[in-house]
Amino acid sequence: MARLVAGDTAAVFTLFEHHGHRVAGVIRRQLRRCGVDDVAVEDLQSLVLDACMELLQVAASWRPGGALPWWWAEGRIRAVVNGWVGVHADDLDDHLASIEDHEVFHAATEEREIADTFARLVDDVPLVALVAEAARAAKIDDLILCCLLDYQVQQDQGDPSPAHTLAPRYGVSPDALRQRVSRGRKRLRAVVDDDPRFAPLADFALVA
Amino acid sequence: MNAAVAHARRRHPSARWPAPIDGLRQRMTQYLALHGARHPAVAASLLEVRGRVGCDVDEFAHRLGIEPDLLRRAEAGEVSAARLPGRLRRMVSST
Repeated sequence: MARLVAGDTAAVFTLFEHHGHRVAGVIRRQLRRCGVDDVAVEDLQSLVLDACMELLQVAASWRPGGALPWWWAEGRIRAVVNGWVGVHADDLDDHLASIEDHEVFHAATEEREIADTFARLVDDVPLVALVAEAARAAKIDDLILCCLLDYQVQQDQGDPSPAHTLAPRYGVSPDALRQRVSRGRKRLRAVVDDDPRFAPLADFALVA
Repeated sequence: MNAAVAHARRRHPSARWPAPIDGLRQRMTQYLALHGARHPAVAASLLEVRGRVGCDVDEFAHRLGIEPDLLRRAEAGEVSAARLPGRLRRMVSST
């Protein structure tokens, strides 16, 4: 290493041949940290080559009497190993293929209208059926119920003003839509509070 | 550990790992080419020979009976294989 520090490039061959196994030890240790317990001899040798070339490039900063070079340059060696291991991630093939085919996405449901989704869920999910029954008991018609559901969805998605978003869709002013939702919720809340059948809905945001 | 023991240990097969020295020579060739050497393969071969012997430039040149400056220029990639003295040329061709 002292020869490398002095600018003798040939010393990297000496380092590799006589101390390559020590560098390999540091590399194996880092591989284990990355969750790689078994590595092919060829891959390990290639990593040692890379590490030695890294040592060659930073040798001028090393001070004799300090830590051993392969510990001193552990950060560099770690970077070599991390680069080889890479970052694991799940494939996004299906998603990418859909984008390439210009497929239109429906993120949460297959239906275009919230009324259709609600009708499907009434059949599939008992709690949703209970909501539909509570709405009937509160004499909330389908339009008002859709308003309530749409408003809740917008709120859950972080819309700061659902009334302004939904008013054009329902052909009313934002204030009128807000009032419609408020009244609908109050009626629904009253039914849920009065009838023990609807007790499971008490904690729903829809009736809050 | 005295010098003799250290030397013996260094030469013992168990102290060496199966070093793919050809791979390092190829990396060195690429490295020198990137740094502007005109004859990187020749330079890398010479560096390999001297590195494995473990001599500095002056000592190695003295052993071969050539000018140290010529060896320095050859290791810097400034001299083609055809212009090397016979003994150096044979070393390059044997690696």
